[in-house]
Amino acid sequence: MAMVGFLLLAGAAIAGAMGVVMQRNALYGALSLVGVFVATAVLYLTLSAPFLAVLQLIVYAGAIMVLFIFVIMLISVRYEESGEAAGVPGGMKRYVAFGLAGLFVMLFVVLSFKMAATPGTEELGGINELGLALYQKYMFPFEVASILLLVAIVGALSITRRHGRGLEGNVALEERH
Amino acid sequence: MAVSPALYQVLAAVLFSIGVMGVLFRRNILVIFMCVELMLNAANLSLIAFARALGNVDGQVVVFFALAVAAAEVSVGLAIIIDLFRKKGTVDVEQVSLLKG
Repeated sequence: MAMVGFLLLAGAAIAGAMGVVMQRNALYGALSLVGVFVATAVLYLTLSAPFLAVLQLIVYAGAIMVLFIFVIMLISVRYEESGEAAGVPGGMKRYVAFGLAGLFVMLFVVLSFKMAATPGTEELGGINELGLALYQKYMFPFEVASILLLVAIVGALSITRRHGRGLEGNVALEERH
Repeated sequence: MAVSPALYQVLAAVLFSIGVMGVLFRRNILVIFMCVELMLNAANLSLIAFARALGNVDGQVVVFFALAVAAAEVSVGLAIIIDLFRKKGTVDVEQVSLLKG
């Protein structure tokens, strides 16, 4: 029973991932990526990580993908229609890509079947244990993560700002006047 | 029948490899960025599966921090992409080759 569920979720995740790579329109690719995130969130539930499953849905499927779709709508819809961005480049790149992908799969398979010797059915304490680890053992990295997010906000703002013109240079404001 | 932890690693490997292929195949920088997110997600799945297999919560903590870093990375990355689009008028990576000798 657990096996059937795992195979269904794995199939959904792989199909979604293929969708991200294959779709010509970036917007459909983004929607496939949401599917992958939802499937992996359910997989996290089966791996006794309910907190991370919820976090995955809120942060990835919610916040990050909304940001992505916003930018795609802003930039890329017109661009994709001209058909320039899609399509698979030929030549060496293709062989390098397939070779690398095969290598990764083989490496992981060999390593993970070595790992499979370990028991693998131990229960984790759930959100309790995770919270204690975060606020005791990993207190300092936790605070550093908050600084990282602050720096990212400031960085994103300063990158997208139009330099040296202030608010007067803002096209949207100018059009309003 | 319980699912072997190895199968989760295989799934993570397949997802990661699909992400690598996307990064190398596609020319739309937004799609490349989404494939990077896919690879991050595969790594997270691998970490959580190992955390379960070893009965140790540290793997889940690493995934927590990976989520925070991914959020920061996406905000800065999309800002760079928007700036690039303003300056170049394209999101095709083949057209952005200023540093090519």
